Amino acid sequence: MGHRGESALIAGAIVVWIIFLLSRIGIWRPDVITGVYWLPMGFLPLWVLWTSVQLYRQEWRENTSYLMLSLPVRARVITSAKLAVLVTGIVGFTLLILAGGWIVAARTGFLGSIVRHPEFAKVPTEWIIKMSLFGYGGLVVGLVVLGLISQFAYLFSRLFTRFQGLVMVWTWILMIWLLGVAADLGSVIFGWLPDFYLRSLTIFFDTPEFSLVRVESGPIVAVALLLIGIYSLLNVLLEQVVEV
Amino acid sequence: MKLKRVLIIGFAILSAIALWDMVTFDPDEFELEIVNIEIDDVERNLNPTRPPDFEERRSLPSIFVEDGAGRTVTVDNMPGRLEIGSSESGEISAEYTVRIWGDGSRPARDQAEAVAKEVEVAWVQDGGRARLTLSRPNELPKGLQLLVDVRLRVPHGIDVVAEHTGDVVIEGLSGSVRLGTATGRAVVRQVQGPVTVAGRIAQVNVSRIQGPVNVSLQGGRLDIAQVEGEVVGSVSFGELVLQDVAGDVTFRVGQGTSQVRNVVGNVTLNGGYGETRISGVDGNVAVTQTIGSVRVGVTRSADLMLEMGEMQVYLEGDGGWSVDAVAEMGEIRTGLPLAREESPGRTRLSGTIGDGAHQLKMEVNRGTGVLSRR
Repeated sequence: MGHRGESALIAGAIVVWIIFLLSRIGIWRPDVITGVYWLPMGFLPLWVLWTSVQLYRQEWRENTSYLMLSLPVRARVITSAKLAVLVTGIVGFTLLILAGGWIVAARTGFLGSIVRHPEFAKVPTEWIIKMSLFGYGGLVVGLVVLGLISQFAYLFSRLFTRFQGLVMVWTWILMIWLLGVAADLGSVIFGWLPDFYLRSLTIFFDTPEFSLVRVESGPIVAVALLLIGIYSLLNVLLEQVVEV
Repeated sequence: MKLKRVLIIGFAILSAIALWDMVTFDPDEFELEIVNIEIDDVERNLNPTRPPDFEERRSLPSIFVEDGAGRTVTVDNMPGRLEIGSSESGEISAEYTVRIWGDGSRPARDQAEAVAKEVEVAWVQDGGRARLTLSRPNELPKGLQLLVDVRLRVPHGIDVVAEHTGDVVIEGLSGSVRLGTATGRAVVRQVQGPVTVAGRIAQVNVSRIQGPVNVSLQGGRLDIAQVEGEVVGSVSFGELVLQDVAGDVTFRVGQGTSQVRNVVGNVTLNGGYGETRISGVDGNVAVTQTIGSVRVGVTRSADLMLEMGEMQVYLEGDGGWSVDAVAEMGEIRTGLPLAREESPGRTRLSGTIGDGAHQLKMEVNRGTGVLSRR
């Protein structure tokens, strides 16, 4: 219930923020309203950090960890359920934020001014849709990775009886460092994997042109494998190591 | 308990390694490994430091294009160096050099030689139009890099259209020049006709042009000097240095710095974020900038607007001005004898300097304005 209340509060705050900015139409400049709208949205990564930890922390705080650790289910069921809560929140908030951004930009006329721009007409709709979906997917995946690392850091800190907060913060930093190391090593070890390409659009002599942006698949595969490893270790921690 | 001990020991070892790695980290060695943008590769590959494994210079037979309007030479995009100069003979001549790099081994040299046989630059003619085309293998064997350097001589009165990846030098032409440059250094000088340049990430230098100039650059540095016609263009990210222009100047600089000096005509500059310096303009000046610093020397009428930042305006010469200067959420400082109206969040200066023949409108929002005479 705590998370539901907290989520409703944040969603309500976003809606109030949208309504407030809509009330500024005609008073503030359209580009200022549209720009200012995004400022408080930096809360999302912080919310992910907070919620990821709270999803486990409340089990110990409310003494339900006995139940969680003694449930006759595999740890992956519990961890995936908690991740699912996080993913639902991330998707919900991001969709709300994007919808709000769309409404604010449309009502202020900022969106119209972009759409009416002669160069916009030259950008293929198919490319806009693909890149938007790609960007959104990347955002969600990035936030989920952030959540997974935070959950691992919290559970790992439970192995210690003292300085748990410090251990959690250091484990989090260690995981970020490890992701960087994995990406570097992946570039070498999985260098044989085929790269993939994204199309980058530029308008040149009034003509849209695509240039290819090469993305190495080696580092991505290595990071993905490490994340699978972290998730597996999270399950092992919960199932075999962490105590009440 | 054993697993717990193993995990804690592993954690301690990993922490020690991470600490050592973080402490010995050298920012200069940092590079983003995951994403390599092709354009960067192109830029790096355009100037290999070692000699090629294969190099061959070839000449094309000279051609004529029929007299009449619309005589044009088009050069297709070829990675390498492009030089276009004037021909005194009335013929269009071209020669090119094929350069191929491998890993320096014997098999790579054989491969390079085989690839070179498939590389050919040729003319395609259609009445008054001639196109220089490149045929090459669609895909090069892995590890090989191909550059084709072209030298072209064009007679008087012929227009040139070129799209190029790499360094370009175009000089001494009497027709118009239309150049698209992806990356590298582009020099266009001593051209009598109109010059149009569109660049992506490049260093562009345009000088000694008799006709109008139109340059749009996405990123990099743009130098324009000694132009007798009108200058129009934009720089999205980068630096603009523009000087000695006889005609009007209309420019937009998205993010970066712009310096405009010695313009006989009017100057209209639209800036986003950055630094703008304008001096020695004989005509009217209009500047609109979002954020940054603006310093303008004014000899005639001026309409200057800055959304946020600092604006310094110097009245130059013996002219007279009718001044209307407003600062919203800011202030305007001046030693000139102007009437000052102060209200919360707003300062307005107005009055006449000299004969008041020219209009000076100055608006600064959320910043500071300085108005002085020199």
